[in-house]
Amino acid sequence: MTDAALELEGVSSGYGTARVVRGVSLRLAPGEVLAVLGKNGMGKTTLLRTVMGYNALQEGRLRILGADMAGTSVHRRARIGVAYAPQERALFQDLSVRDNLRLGLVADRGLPKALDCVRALFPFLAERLGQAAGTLSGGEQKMLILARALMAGPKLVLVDEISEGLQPSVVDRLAGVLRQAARAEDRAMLLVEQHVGFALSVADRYVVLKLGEIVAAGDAADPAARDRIEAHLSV
Amino acid sequence: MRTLVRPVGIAAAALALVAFLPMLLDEYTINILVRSCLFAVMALTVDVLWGYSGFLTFGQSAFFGAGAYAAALCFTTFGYSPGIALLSLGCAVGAAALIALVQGWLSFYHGATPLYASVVSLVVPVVATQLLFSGGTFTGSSSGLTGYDVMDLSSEEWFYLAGAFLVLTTLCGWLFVCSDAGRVLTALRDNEARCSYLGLNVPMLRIALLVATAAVAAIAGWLYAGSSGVVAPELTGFVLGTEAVIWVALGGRGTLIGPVIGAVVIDVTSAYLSGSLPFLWKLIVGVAFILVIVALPQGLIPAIGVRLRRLLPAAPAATIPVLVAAPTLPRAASDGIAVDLVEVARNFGSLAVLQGITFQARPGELVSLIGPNGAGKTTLMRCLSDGTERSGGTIRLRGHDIRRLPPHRCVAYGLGRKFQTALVFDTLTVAECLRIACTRRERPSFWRRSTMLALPEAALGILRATGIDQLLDREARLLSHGQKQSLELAMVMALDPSVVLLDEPTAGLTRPERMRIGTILTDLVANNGLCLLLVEHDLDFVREISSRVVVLHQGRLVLDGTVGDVVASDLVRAIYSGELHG
Repeated sequence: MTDAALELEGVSSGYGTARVVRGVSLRLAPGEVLAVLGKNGMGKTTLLRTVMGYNALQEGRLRILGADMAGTSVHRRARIGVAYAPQERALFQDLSVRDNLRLGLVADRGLPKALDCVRALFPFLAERLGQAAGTLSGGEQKMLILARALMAGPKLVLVDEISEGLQPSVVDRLAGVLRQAARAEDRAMLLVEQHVGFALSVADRYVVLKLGEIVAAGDAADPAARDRIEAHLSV
Repeated sequence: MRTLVRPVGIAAAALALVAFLPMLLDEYTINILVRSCLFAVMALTVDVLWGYSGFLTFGQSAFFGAGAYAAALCFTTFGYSPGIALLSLGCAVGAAALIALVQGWLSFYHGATPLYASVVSLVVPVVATQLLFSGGTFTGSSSGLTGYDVMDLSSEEWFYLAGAFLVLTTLCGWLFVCSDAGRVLTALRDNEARCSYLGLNVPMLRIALLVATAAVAAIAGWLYAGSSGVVAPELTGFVLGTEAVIWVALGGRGTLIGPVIGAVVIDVTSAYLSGSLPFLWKLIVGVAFILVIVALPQGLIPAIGVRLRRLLPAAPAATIPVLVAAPTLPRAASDGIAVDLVEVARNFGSLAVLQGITFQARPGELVSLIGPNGAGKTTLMRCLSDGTERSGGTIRLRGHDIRRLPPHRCVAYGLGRKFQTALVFDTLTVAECLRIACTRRERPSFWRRSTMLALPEAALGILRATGIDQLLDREARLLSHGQKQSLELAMVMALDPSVVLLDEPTAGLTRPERMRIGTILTDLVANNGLCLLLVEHDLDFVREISSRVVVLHQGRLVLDGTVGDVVASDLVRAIYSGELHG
């Protein structure tokens, strides 16, 4: 049996002594996409930040590609193949699109291959490599963040509300892109979303977080999944 | 009243200490302490400016020196009498205020960067020192002024005066930074843009604060000239100004008490050690500074212990204000057009982001702006809310031409703007953020916190619909992304605006929350005659709440019609089915 891409056992974390994620256990095989849904302030983003290593574990175990992550810093996690596309505008606003992409690579050697990947994902970005990232519109910046996370061939991708602020046609295309990337390259993905339809069209499975705990989980292909999730979101 | 007990108690204890110290210490130490107390007052002003309002200044020494020279020059020229002493005090405060006005006018204007203001603060003391050097016998040039007559007070009496002055300014500072008005300083530090879009005149507030702190530093300088009987150009120099920054950093920035203790301890120690270890001493202070910056970025006093933190000014956690509904203000009548754009254009260099945008919106209309990513929607919002943004065309808000007016003037015409990425005040609590949003309607107290928070119904409705009325004491940085969006929306509605620009107000919210906010917005438009411009991608949401839709594509207005027109339009279908990409 191959190692799971991501394995959480009873993980709790938060800010200072405050506990935001409580006892979350989940397992993600390579190539699998898990949608993390839930209302605001339920700990979705904190869960991603904990996997990436920005928030320390308060309790539990966290394994990525079979290796225990206790005490492993953020940049080491990035090196073994974890990529994070955060929700807020995590770009170097004054640097060009090209330089923002270069900062996502270990060495410039990988740039031509990465640019090919970016071109395939978002053609307009490849045409605007010299433009300062801060002058892109809000939606374009989100696409750049996602391109930067996907281009270097990561094994585990953490995506935080990527559909927010994007035009519907781009959202539709993204669903296809993300699914294909996961299948073709055995890329596991943790997808935090508000947009339930989009999340289910990309994901294999879903979990719903409530006050930091998993309160529902299931198969994304299940026709009743959407109603069950919406029921949790509306309470 | 409970909030007054702690600071007043600490001040009383400090005054008792000032009264008893001369019995324990020799005259040399007392003389040094007089100077240290006055330097500590200057450090206090640096802390208010840097620690609270976020303006790193190296120039407070210029005001201290101006106060000292005003006294020395008056006494040298006219001799000493109580009347002359009063005159010189007036000159000290007046001169410092004048310099501060000029410095503030140069440093703070719409769009100036904080770094620029810090550089100007370095230049001011350099210029002041040069002026004194070139003043010939009038200013005493490099040797300064000495031998003038002053009030005939003993060392102990000077110490009582300087000590009491330090204690009282610290007490006033404490009450001020903890008051509702004082929280505005933190808001300025956290997010200037949000402040100006809440209608606060940011440059004016910053200049007023600089003038006030300059006046306090000048009084300290005036006392220094009296107590020491000698003034030198170094008093106005940037070395002293930089030392004040070091005292503040070592003692603990943003704690008031820390900088005071830092200034007194370091100044007294250097007076003793600089005699015996003249060169080594500077090295010791330098190394200590670097160590503290690296190991204890908060400074020494906050690091000493949780127990001691009770001695520092802090917002009392228990005071969560009670939310009440504010009376609705009568709206001034307008000519029936809320927003009027004529040929509005915006270029970045040769790149035209907006061209020839012309449309109108009336009160009671909810106009959605849609279009692909990069179509210019956010740029249009920016042009509508800041007169300095557009490259051409005219914009009228409720009949007022916004010309080149900065955002806070547009807010005065009844505008409210919510940004795409939520702008809130990270280190303030939810209640404090909302209070700042009310500053324009209700002048905040300078010495206490109100226990009530009156908000318009619309703001209350948004707080309740999203549940953040239960999180009033939570710091805004700890809110989730969607909660920040709701808080910002409530802050905008707290302005009681007539024209509201919302840039993706419901991004990051769940569908039920979206629908609840949608209902609140449509109610406001229908019942209160609000004019609402909305940027949104969720076409279902747009369809449900809009009365009109404007479509932007590549910087041009391509369609302006009803929801039905837009849904039937081939162009919109092309944009949204992906045949056209932005």
